[in-house]
Amino acid sequence: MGISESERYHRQIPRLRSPHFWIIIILFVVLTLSHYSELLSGIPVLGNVSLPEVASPARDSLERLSYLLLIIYSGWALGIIGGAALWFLSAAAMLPHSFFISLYRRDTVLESSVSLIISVLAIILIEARRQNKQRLERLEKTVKDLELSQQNYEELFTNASDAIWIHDIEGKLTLANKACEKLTGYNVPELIGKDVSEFLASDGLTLARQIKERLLRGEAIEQRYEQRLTRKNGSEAIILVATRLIVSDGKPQAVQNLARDITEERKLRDNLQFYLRGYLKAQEEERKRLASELHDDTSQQILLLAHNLDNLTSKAGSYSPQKLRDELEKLHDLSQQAYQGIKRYAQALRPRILDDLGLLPALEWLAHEITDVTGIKVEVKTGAIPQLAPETQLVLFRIAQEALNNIHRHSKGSEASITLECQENEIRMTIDDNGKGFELPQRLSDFASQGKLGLTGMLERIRLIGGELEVTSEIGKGTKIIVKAPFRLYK
Amino acid sequence: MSTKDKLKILIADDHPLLREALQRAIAVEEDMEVIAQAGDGEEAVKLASELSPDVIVMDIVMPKLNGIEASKKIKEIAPNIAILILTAYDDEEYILGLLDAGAAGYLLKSARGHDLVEAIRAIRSGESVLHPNIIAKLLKRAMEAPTEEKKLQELLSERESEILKLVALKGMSNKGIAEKLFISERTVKAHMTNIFNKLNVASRSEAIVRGLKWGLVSLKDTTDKFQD
Repeated sequence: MGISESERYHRQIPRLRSPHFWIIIILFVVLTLSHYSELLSGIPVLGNVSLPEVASPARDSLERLSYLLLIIYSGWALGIIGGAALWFLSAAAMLPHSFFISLYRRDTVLESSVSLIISVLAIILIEARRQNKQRLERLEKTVKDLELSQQNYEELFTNASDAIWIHDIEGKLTLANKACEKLTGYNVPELIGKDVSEFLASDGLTLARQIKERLLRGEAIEQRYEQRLTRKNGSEAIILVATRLIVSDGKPQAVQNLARDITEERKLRDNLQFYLRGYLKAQEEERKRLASELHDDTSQQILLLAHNLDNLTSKAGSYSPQKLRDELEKLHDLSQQAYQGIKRYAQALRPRILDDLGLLPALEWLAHEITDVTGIKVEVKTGAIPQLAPETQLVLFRIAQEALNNIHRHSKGSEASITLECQENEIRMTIDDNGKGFELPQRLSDFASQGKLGLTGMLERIRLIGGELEVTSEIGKGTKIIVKAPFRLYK
Repeated sequence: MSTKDKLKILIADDHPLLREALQRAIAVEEDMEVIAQAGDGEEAVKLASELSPDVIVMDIVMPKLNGIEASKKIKEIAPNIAILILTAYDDEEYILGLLDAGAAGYLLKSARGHDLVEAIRAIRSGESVLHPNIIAKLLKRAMEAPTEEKKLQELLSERESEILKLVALKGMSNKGIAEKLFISERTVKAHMTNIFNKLNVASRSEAIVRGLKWGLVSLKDTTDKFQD
């Protein structure tokens, strides 16, 4: 808030341009002309004017008083430099008059000196006052800035998304912000005075003690570390903490903690790992099943076909035309069986109808298949649906497939419906059933840890294309799955 | 039979070996011949518009343009070409999709050469029939979807509408219709040809599909049918 020298210098320039400057110059000139008027008027007709007649001691005194006032005015309006400049000018104007012109030299010299001394004092006084005022203003501004900055800090502390708390060396909480409420479930007044050990399980407590000992030994804990704490409702929160010792006068006073709640992230990660493990296992089993079917079924049929062809090649010459036709007929049947097998596996892996005809016929086919195999009545309801991007079609188809599988395996429902709707910029698919329903976890991401891999799979799939999944279910009231996918047209 | 009277067949399939097998099956027949082979959907469309075959035997899975898209294009350019689609699957939903694309009929890939030839002949003579399940599905769809009833009334005579209804709703053969209406089978055939021309289609199945789409049946017809 200090003003640098160059700023001071620049502030002088406008002073020269200020009207005060010119008023002072004009007044000074007029005053000086008046002061020496007898001398001037005497120039053209020197001998004609008798000096004592013209000179009036009263007017001279008045003029000296005017100099004094002008110096003070200059000091007030133009600052100390302006005042000083005018002081010198006035001294130069008054003193010659006193010494050489005035008839009462002793009195006038005294009078001039007094007015010059008074004006010096006045200028100093004015300047001192001005400086004082500036200092006061600066102080006021500093106080205001300080208040604002404190307010900002308080807000930052109170509303920080990270939990911040301070406890004394014994572990009693002395300060906590709002995020602590969210983290622990207690409100701030409840928290103050509590011992931090109340939140920690034995493992956590050991860790906290180690940290404290290291801090007291003077080590800095640079890395954030993971800590688990128990919330008011008994649930566990996982946090990432940074801890620092507050030292004043060389003595440790308190411990400051900054913590981020990573419970969600950690659960999500655990769930994803859980899902991935389950998914890989299922994939491996599926491959194993397919491989063994191909080995045991199709491969055998083709081998048999080759074997019989070989047999026929060597014996054909001895067969009658009728016998030959019968043998060939058998081979044809065998090749047909192998073909049917391969077709079945290919269809199970990826139904052709989805690629050839698109989502809607594929869903109708799927509904029909499920009805044939399980007896569950599945209705497909839809309005006009434009052709969707292939990956959107695939994701929606797989989700419907998984949902219908779930209905068959878990829900014990007898009826289901798949509804496709096209909204402004998204496609929405709803799968409803009249099954027994289930209890929903708090978060969709908890499906995996509950062993509901199917639902997790749906969630992961729809996220891949930027969509959303919504599940509503209640015991005894069936399940409804809504998937929404952003609308991208087939290119 | 002179070359001129023979049915002109175009085969579209991306497997050369399968194309050869199909060609061999057709080559032994006297009343038909393969005039060209296409290895992908785009080629099929091009050859179809250049050579105007009577029947195209079309595989679905082909590079560049699949058989279904190719069929739609060909039916736009030349509606009088009948398309027989080769498919591995005969699920109802699949067949409905093929009919939507303008197929006159379909043949399972596992069918024998003899079946292929018969299917081509049946399509050309206007005798090919759809499975009752498929017809039921088509009907259900026709009832749900908005129709353009007027169009059909303007196009077909009363007799023709009657015949098309018998074909569509009861799956009757030409012979059956002839007996029911006390007219000759030849007359029925002539009527069918007129219907194909007026509806701008090449086969019985297409006539049924288009007829249903254009409001051949109203609710009244279906109740009549169930009362029968």
